[in-house]
Amino acid sequence: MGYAIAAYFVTAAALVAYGAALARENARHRSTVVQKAHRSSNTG
Amino acid sequence: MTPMTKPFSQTKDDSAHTTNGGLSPLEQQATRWRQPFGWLLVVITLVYAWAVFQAPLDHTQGVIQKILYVHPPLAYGAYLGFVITAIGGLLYLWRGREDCDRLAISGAEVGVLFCTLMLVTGPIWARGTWGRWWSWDPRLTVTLLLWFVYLAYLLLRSFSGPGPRTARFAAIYGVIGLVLIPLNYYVIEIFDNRSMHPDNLERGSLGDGMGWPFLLGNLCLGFAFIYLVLLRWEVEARRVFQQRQEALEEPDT
Repeated sequence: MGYAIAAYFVTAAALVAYGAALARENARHRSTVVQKAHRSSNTG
Repeated sequence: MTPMTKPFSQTKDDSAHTTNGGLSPLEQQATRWRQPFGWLLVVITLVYAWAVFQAPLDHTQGVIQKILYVHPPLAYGAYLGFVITAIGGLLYLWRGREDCDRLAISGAEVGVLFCTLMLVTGPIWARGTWGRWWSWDPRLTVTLLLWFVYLAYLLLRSFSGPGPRTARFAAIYGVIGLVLIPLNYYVIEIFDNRSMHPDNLERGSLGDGMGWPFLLGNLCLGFAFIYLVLLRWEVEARRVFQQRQEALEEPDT
């Protein structure tokens, strides 16, 4: 029982952690682009 | 001084994606497709969890046999990731499109993740049934080799920096690495069934009531795979775009 639970737990944890890390990085890049666009519209 | 090779930032499709955060039209379309996939994934995951819980117990192995509903789907995801790497690489070589190169990187990274999880769940299953974590069995050995080949691809991409030469080399490498997939799939038959690893699954080889959970496992992990590849592709496009923007803003030295 423990082995089966471990296999599912490791898979779920790894996929969720990887997805969350990608989502965070994506959000960071998006916000940087928005900030730069905002800054250039203010100065331009 | 004129650079010997054309900078990656001046290649064919780098022209006018600046208003879209660096995403090519294909990548924008992929981003739009990603959202519904996410919701579908949540629903399928719940159904999958219920199906695995309800699946009948195997008479010989007991509960540990339920690893069947996660281990082969991870293998199919890994294969698919490396096939995407090869297709992306070939399209890059043929059309010179950077978005295809970025797709190749995404396929390799998610493929390596799935391959890693296959190499983790397999030994867990082996420990419970064979009594040991690892055996230098043909299937396991070729799988480990496949993992090393595409891990090396990712290391190549992260350490050699951007550029058309790296992209071309990586594309060829990704295509050649694909040879290991049919070898890995048929290695049990090649070794005349002397492998400890069970034979490849065939239609009707699963017990009663095990087909649906297995199908749902493939659907769930397939959707997770597609979602992660699309997200990774978008991240790569935005990361490259941001790097170029920063390079343009830096004063000349």
